[in-house]
Amino acid sequence: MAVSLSFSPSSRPDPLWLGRLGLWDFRPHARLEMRMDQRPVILNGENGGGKTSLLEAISFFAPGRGLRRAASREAARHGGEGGWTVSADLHGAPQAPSPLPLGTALPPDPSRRARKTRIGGKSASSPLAFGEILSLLWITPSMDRLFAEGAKARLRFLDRLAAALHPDHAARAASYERAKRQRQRLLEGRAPDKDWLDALEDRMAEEAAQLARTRASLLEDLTRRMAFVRETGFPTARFSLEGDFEKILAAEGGDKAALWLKERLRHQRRLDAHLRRASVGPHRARFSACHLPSGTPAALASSGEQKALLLGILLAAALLMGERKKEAPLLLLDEALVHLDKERREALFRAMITLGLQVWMTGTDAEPFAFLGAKAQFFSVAPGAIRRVS
Amino acid sequence: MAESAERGAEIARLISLLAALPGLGPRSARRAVLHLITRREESLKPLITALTRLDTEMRQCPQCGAIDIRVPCRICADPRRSGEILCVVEHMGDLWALERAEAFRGRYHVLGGALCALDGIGPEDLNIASLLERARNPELREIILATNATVDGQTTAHYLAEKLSGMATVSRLARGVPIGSELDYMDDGTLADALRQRRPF
Repeated sequence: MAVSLSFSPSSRPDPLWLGRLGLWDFRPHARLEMRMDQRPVILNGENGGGKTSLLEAISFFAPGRGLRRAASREAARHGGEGGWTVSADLHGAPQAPSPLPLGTALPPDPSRRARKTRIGGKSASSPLAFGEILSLLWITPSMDRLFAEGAKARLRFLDRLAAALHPDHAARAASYERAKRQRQRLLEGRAPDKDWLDALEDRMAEEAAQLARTRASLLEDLTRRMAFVRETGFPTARFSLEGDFEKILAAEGGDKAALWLKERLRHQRRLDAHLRRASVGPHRARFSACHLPSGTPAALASSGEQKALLLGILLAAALLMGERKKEAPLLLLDEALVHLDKERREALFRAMITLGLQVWMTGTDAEPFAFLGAKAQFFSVAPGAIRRVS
Repeated sequence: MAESAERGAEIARLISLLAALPGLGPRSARRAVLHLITRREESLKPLITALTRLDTEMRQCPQCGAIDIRVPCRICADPRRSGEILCVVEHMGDLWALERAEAFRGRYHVLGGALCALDGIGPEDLNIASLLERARNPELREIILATNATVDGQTTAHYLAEKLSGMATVSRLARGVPIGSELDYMDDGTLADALRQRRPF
């Protein structure tokens, strides 16, 4: 089988990479400035030195909560003024000057909850605008048991992949969520206005079909790239996305599914008010994976295999983005080598280099990354201080 | 504190008032205030006169909800404006935007916001009762719902369409391909809307 797929080095998509990163009052870092080239970035240093905080800072160049899922205000440095700033120079963004200055900041004024967004020296209306120019994917140690726990977290992971590929997905998911929350607020209030509820359920139904369709087509696309995953040495997976709404969508198409959802929501108002949540819709979908080499559900695989499965999905998504968007995403891998044996570690390094990605990785010691040698750049991180090692 | 002592409490207060306005920050507010105090005759005094006049004479138009110093407002009072077609917007800014486009010759209705259960803004907080009243006028042929394409704007449009059904023809603004955009870079939903709302060449 031809598994080298679409990229010989000559046809490889342009990688996105950061040439500079600056932090002000972010987590333990009062002031920090670092310059990088295109190669993977390895951050080493003791616990509490602020390695993950650097990844989190970069993750704020995507809409929503960052990689720690913390509210923006929590990222402010203790003893600082209460606000923070992250700036960077982005290279390789299609249809944009290179380097492209990016900035995101939270004003010190505690009454302001929204962070500011600047792209190319101009203000943008919201961090959703970052989705138009760069793709960011990440995994963190809290996702190690993703397949065994929390359907919500799994769906969130899927949605982040979808948003990196389809910039409108994040906005659509936010619209759906907002309409759903408003409906719930009305249902739990006194004598809810029926026309208002109709209007909100109509909004939910309209967004729902497209949301579920984007998720399903992403899973099909990932499945088609499993040959590449096998070649990298990571375990392949079979995905499933199940739910009442998804079933109707697959059988009857978007318009009918939207009508069905509207009807169901209308009928379940009383129940939903009692349950304090919407009991039907794409937010209730169950996303799961099967570890194909062993034929067992991912949830039953060992910690190491689950981590490898997750990394394989991420590599497939990176490949897919390179093909679709003609840009390789930025990858943030926090403590990714934990649970991986030497063979898997080297497989990961090889795949990163083949895909030409600027992957940002953290780890207390440099030794596990030694395989990368001069193919990566190494930094030593301490609060407010960063030093290039090689 | 040092800033107040240096510039005087009143000037600091003016700076903080201006800095709180949309589109301005502390830096631009400081520059504006510096400009005002150094050009007292040509800038500060005319501004005081204009603000005072606005404060004493500004009224909400009882018909459409727009803010003007005339009652009824300029647009409601203009006999060249068609009374057969009504355009419903969320805010004054939306009315100004449509007026800038110079494409609409009917009258407006300003809701004063959009429905939002999270912020506690319900139908009774918006100019909806007066809209329903106006919709009963038999002269009215069409009502255009020009609320924003946000969740709240679209929810409000849907809500109004329900309330207005059977009164006049209710339409909404078209959604589709923005001028100057390439299909390859457009989001799927907008593209699907544009296809659905296609029209003969």
